[in-house]
Parts: sequence; structure tokens; C-alpha cells
Amino acid sequence: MSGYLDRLGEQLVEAAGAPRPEPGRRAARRSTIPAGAAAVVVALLVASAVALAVTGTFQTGSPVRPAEHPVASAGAGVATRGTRLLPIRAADPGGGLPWGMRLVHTTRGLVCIQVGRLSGSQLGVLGQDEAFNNDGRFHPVAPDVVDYHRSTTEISNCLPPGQVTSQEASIPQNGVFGAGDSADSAAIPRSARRWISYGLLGPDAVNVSYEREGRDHTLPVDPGTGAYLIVLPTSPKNGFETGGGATSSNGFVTPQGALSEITYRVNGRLCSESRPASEAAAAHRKCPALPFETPFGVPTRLHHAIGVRVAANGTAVVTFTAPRAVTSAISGYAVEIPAPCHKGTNEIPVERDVRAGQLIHVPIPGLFDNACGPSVSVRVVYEPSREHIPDGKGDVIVGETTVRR
Amino acid sequence: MNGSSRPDEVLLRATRDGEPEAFGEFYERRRALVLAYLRSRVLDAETAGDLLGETFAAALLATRDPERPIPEEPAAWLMAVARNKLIDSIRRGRVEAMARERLALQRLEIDDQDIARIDELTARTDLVRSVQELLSADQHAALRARILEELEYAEIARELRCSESVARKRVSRALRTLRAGLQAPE
Repeated sequence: MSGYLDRLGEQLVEAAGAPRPEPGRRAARRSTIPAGAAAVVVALLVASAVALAVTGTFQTGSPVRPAEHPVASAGAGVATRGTRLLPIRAADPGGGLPWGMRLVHTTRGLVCIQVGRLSGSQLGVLGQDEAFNNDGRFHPVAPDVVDYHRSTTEISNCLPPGQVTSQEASIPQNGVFGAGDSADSAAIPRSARRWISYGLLGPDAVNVSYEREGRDHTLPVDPGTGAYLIVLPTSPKNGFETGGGATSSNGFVTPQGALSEITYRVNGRLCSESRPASEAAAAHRKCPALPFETPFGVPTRLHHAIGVRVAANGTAVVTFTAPRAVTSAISGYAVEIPAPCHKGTNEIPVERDVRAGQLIHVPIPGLFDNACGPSVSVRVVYEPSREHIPDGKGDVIVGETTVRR
Repeated sequence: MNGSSRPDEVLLRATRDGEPEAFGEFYERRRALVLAYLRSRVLDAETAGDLLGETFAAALLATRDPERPIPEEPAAWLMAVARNKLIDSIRRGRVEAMARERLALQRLEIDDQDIARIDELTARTDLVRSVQELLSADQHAALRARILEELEYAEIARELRCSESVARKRVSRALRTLRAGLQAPE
């Protein structure tokens, strides 16, 4: 089977042989509607739009596609066949299309959560509240619109398999995550905002409890995944201001924000974790610990040679030979440049698959930008589980060197 | 089948005159050079591959446009197109697909085997030597010092044992050569 470069060549040859488009000469479309009827048509369209809004049915608009072309072996990867819409529906407090959730399994081993409005079996966002020029249409969101970096301001969160998460966010009713950060968000009235509480609590979760308008509610989670979705008209009393959440590798997350309690079934028995009254109380769990294997040993040093080529303007390229393959987003390499005077480390991750033995080049925009003296330390680290919390455990230091200005 | 010894300019003219395989030959001949340049300027092989597609698509659009002259130095022109596409992608934070869309090219996936191929092809291509073929010796030395080694003009002048203004002129001439013909396509 031919690869990308060959297929591109074939496409170009095919395009070179296709009939040549005539630039600047577009076929003029002539309206067949008599002038006198135009006002009637416009009135009908307006009436239809009102009817559509009332019934919650929207015409379909342009689909939302990833900001960058998704690549199977880099970043979050691309959606695989395991991707599915979950049988979860949450009514919107203002009516209209319900909310739903999709689980996207990617080629790089991640499980990503997408939340949005539902039109039939399609997940998407609405062209209202300053989105899509207020076109009043439903815009389907492609499964590949996922974000590798966790953020409540994005439409999705990605996790490695086995991790559990509970997230909260204040977003516009159109379903567009991230709009809270934009300048246009001030134009969105409070009544057009929603508080979204959603998560993936794992196979041991049974239900979640939350309070709405002074009454306690209990919602069963999706069996098997532990997925849940709650849509509230306003932020909860004990919640975050704009959003937040928790992610865990040990099977449990502490209820927070809108959630007052999470019930699990552990060893055949039900137990519930309540929202802790304080940080100290959060350490005392009611449920017995789930069997969780820590796959990490003592950090190791391989003492491999790494090369650093520095240009006059401070940009640099770090070169190393990858001792281990990377086949998913869960593991990976990174170049670290510690800056002890700033109490931090500049980390440049290599977010793509690599072969064992492959020569890797990592461009560094400003090698000395955070330098604490005339030289900087540069080290290449292999992270066997990038998503493990806390970070750093089990890292393998491939090699390190010192570079002088 | 036409021989592979035809100059680039002849291949582009043949493409315009209705021989699509000629553009395939041009692509085969120059893709490694363009890829090596792009790969050295972007973080990953996928982006380089994506930009490669957009570069050649833009070049094909320009070649097929009868109102544009066929460039006298097609390889240098192609590098300038690639550079423009690269700059556009940096400004916009993404690789545009405008040229490919105008040609109705289907978006192609880049898998890990493709990445390995791109990296392999890039590693095998001596970018410096390839660029050298396009320029005179003094232009090449000045351009290499300025673009690849990113030296200041004063440093280039010291290295080439000429005045700073001569160094500037050589770099300028080299860039002009690389831009030759260039009404680079959008």
C-alpha cells in the first residue's frame, strides 16, 4: 500500500490532468422567485425559524472540525471505531435540544469525553449566543475535536484508560466550551449560561447525588463507564466560580462542585463518598481502596548521549536516540530544562509516536530564556505514564548535558 | 513515458500544456528538497508533510494558470512557495488547505509509517547541498551563514572576509534568486 508521499503525488497528477477551472468566472445564479413573492418567502422563513426554535429542531449548519489536522500518531490521535455516543441525556433547563456525551477512543490510547447538545444521534453546538454568527443552526461536532491537554475550557477532556474524572464548567447554553474566556462572553446573559457537571467515574461507580433548587437528586451513572452528565441553570453553592474538577488514577474522585455524593460498589458492597467539609477531611475515604497496581519503580538514568545545537539567537535543537518506542499518548519523551532560580522546569514534550532507536530532533525556541546563570542543564526524559498523578514517578532520564551560552 | 532528464521548467510547461505526468515528475524530483526545508523548520513530520501537500498544490495551481509566467528557476520558486506556506502556517497557527481545496484534493492521513518515511527522506537529503545547486558559490555561502547558521551580518562579513554591506548584498541576491519568478501563489 502506498504511503502519504506517493498518494500525494498521485493526487497531484490527477489534479494536473483535471479540467482547468475558469478563475473569476462564476456562474451567475438567477432567482426564479418573482419580486412580489420575495417578501412572502422571507416571512415564511422567519415563521419557520420561530417554529424551529420553539420545537427545539434546528437546521444543520457547518460541522465543527478540529483546529488542526488530526494525526493518528501524534497528539491525541484520531477517533477509532470504539467511539460512541453514550445513552445519557440531560434536559436543558431552558428547553430545546437535550445535552449528551460522546466517548471518543483515539489511536493514541486515550479516552476523550465530548459534551454538547444533541440533535437526534448527533452531538454538536448551537449557532446562538454569539456563536456561528447567531445563525440559529445546529453545528455537529466531529469526534476528532478533542484536546489532549485537560482543560475545562475545551469541549472535551482526554484520559488514559483506567483514570477517572469529575469536571464542572460554566458554559453558554449553546454548548460552546471556552466561550467563557472570550471577549464576547460578556454579551451572554446569566440566563443563557449553564453549569455542566460531567465525568467518567469508572466501572465501580453506581450513582451521583446533587442538589438543585433546594432538593436532593440522585442520578444513576452509565453502567460500565460510570459516565454522568448534569446540566444546571446556575452554579452550585459550594462550587467553583467558572469550572474545575479532579482526575484520579486510583479509581475514586472526591465529590465536589455540583456533586454532593458519589456511590460506588466495591467488593459487592455499596459505599458512598461525600463532599468533604475540608481538605483534611478529603483524605479520609469511606470506601475501601480499590486494588491499584503502581507500575513504577525507582527513576532510572540511562546516561545516553544527547546533542544540543545552539544557534546565535538562542534557539536550539536537542537530538537524541529514543531508547524505547512510544505508541500512544500515555507515554512519551520530553526535553526538560530546569530553572532552579525560577523554581520551575521548562518542559518541551514530544507529542507523537516514535520507534525505539529513532533519532529525535526537538526544537527549543529559547534555550536560555529562563537561564539562571551562564549555562543551562538539558535533559531528555522518558515518561512511561505521562498521565500518572503525581507527575514524575517512574521517569527515565535518557541523558543530560550542560550547555554554556 | 517521458525521460526524467527534462529540466524543471520544461516539466512545468508540459504540465500546463496538458501532460499531467510531468507535474508528477517535478514532484518526485523536488519533494525531498522541499520536505527537508520544511522538516527543519517545523516541530514534527506531520506538519512538514501537510505543508508539502499545500506547497505542491499551490505550485500546481500557479502552473496551470495561463496568466502566470512559468518560473525560470522552478526549484527556487518552489522553495519560496514552501517558505510562504510555512510563514502563513505560523501566523495562523495551522496549516491551511486552501490550495488543496481549490484542486479538490482529498485530505490524506499521515500515519506512523509516513512519518518514518518523511524523516528518512529528510535525513537523506542534504538541504545545504540542494540549496547550493540553486545559487552561486558566494550567494550560497552568505545565505547559508544567514539562514541556516543564523549569524549576524557582521559575523558573516568576518567569516566571508568581506564588508558587511557586501555580505548583505550577497544574502539579498541569494534571496532574490530564490524568489525568482515569484509571484508566489496564494
